[in-house]
Amino acid sequence: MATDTLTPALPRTDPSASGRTTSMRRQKRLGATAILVFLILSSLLMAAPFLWMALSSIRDPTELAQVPMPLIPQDLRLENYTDALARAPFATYARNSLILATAAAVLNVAFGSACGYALAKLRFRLAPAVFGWMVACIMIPFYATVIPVFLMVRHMPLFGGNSILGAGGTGWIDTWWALIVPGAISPFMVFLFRQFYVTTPSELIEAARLDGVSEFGIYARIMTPLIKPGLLTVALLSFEAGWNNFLWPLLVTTSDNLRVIQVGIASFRQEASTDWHLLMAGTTMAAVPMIILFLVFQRYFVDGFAASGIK
Amino acid sequence: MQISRRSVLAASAAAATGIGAAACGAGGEMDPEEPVDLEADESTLSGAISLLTPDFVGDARAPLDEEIIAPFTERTGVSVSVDQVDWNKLNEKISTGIAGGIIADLIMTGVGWTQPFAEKGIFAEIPADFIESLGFDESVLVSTRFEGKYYSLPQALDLRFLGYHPEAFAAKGIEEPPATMDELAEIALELTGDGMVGLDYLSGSAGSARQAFVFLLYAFGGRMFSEDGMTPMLHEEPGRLALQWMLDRMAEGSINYDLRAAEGQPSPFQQKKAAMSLVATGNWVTWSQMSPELCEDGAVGLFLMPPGAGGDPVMFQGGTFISISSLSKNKDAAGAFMKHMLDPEYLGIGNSAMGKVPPTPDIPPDEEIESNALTQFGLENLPYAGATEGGSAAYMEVRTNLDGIVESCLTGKSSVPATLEDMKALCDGAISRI
Repeated sequence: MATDTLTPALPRTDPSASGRTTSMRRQKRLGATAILVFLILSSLLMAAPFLWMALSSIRDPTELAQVPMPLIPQDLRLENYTDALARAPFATYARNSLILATAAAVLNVAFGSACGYALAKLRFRLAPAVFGWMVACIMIPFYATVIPVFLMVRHMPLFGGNSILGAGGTGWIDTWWALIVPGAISPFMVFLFRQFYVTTPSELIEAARLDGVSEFGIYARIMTPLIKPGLLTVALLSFEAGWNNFLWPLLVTTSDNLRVIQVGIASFRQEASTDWHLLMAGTTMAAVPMIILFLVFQRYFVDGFAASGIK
Repeated sequence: MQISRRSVLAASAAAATGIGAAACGAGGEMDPEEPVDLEADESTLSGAISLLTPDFVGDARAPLDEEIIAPFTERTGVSVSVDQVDWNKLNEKISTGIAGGIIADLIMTGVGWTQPFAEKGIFAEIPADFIESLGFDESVLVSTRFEGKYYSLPQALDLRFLGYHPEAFAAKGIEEPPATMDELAEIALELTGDGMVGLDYLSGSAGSARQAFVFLLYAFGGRMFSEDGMTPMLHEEPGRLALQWMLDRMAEGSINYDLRAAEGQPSPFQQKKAAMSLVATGNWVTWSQMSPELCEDGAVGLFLMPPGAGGDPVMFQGGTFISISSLSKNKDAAGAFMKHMLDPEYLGIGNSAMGKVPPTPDIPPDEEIESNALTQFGLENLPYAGATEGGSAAYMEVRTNLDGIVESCLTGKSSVPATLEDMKALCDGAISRI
């Protein structure tokens, strides 16, 4: 009797229950397959422009003109890359973009984290107002600030032949200062850092103070290591913004040796014609560093966005 | 006296404001009123000048540096630096330069740009006697003037007219290109069918909707602004006829608004989906790369836009015009370089490299220019290149917004009278802000 009540074999012997389990498994499998198919199709859809760009970068210009254009290039034309490199000083442009993007990443992390930490963890009366002002600044479009920032750069005292009053010379125009300094801090990055620091426990700050750690030490050695995904997110976003920057470098530079890769890519577009094969080769070369960076750091990048609540 | 943190901050702010105000108010060394001396002895020239250009992109840059600038620098000792900027960002570049009081000595812009920048005092006046000595056709000088004075000179033209596939004409027994707008409409309708559209006028392969409208406006005998540029005229009867002509063709099916090629793909005319098309001289480069068969002798027929109200046929004129900055600190050297660039030999080199049309046919023989059928057609018909954008100091503000207004009409969102009213309101508003 007791064995009868304890036996767990009953469901196995019930054909209808077994069928239900199988059916549920099948449904689960079907559901998982459907999700997988959907994700694969979505991924292909998202990747399609990049694939088209990469494939077009090795097509012959006459093949680009075919209607319909074959999906797979029939004649691999790798010389599009060498032609594109020969068309403009791409090595110089790439070096400049790398310097600009790296500087933007480093400076934004340094200044943005300090500002974000101050707004999140340091108690001072104006903190809410300063934070509100920062958030308001995010809403100001870049175009609205171009001329004021240009004027500040152009009238920078004691630079480029300018007097102490900022007149008589060219200031920072056509220098690395003009390229790097205006992009060294962004209100959005401060906002992002503030969101990361808010999620960290304030008790650690109090404990560190009791242990005699300096305020800068608390910021640099105790709190900032806790927001590594945030540091990487801001670094990547700033690097990407610096790498893709086009208008500002175009406005504040005049010489070729300070131009960046996005300006170089524009040289394939003329008023009435575009060298699509070279444009695609140039764009592919410009996109590769960003794709590699994203692939290497994608876990942190996604974590960072998720943690900051801006996903 | 005790110094508080607040007083230090207040003092810093006051000092910064003072320095800023003083900096903004401090005058530079340039004198905008100083006239350009184009007769200056080249041996007296020195220093450096800068050239801001949207042209000479890619492969065309080397000829500019090596074959145009190098001989000038060798001859005069004046060095020339080139600031090459994309057409789409040229206005921003010039505008920020003006705001900062730091702009290139020589500035290259497009048709319709001269009057707005001349009115702002950015372009220096160019002596009329020098321009007359060049012997350029009046048609290419119309857009160089503001209030009767010259402020720019054509350096490279981009001309637009109509092209057709001769075999499509032959299949329908059409022997001659149309001579009037009515004939153009009839032929376009006759050629429509069997998967082919009669006229590709709006696909954007040779300009925007705005430019398509302006071209027809001139064909119907109209113009954009009055002589002094202070009264809009594009909303008058020729403007109505131009819009209505496009709408009628779209209703008949001989112009198909939806006939567009994807970016990077050949135009409907290149694909032979259109029997006739608006064609720009700049299309030659694309044709030679993508559809070389169109560049063969006799593969494409060309004709000017026929008149809609009697008179002469017309050709649309775009292009690049060179001006001397009134803020230049080295105006004489800038003037000398402008003269150098307008020398027939260098006009030939520059236009050959860019695939554009020199503003005069009087240039030394050049294989590239002579083998370009579109350029040759443009040069042969330069006196008809009267359809030009602009003519008002307010045009830079009108320019971009006009596209949307024309598109609204073509897509049926706005009636012809409402579109003309919108055009007038746009121009009046912009002119009132001069």
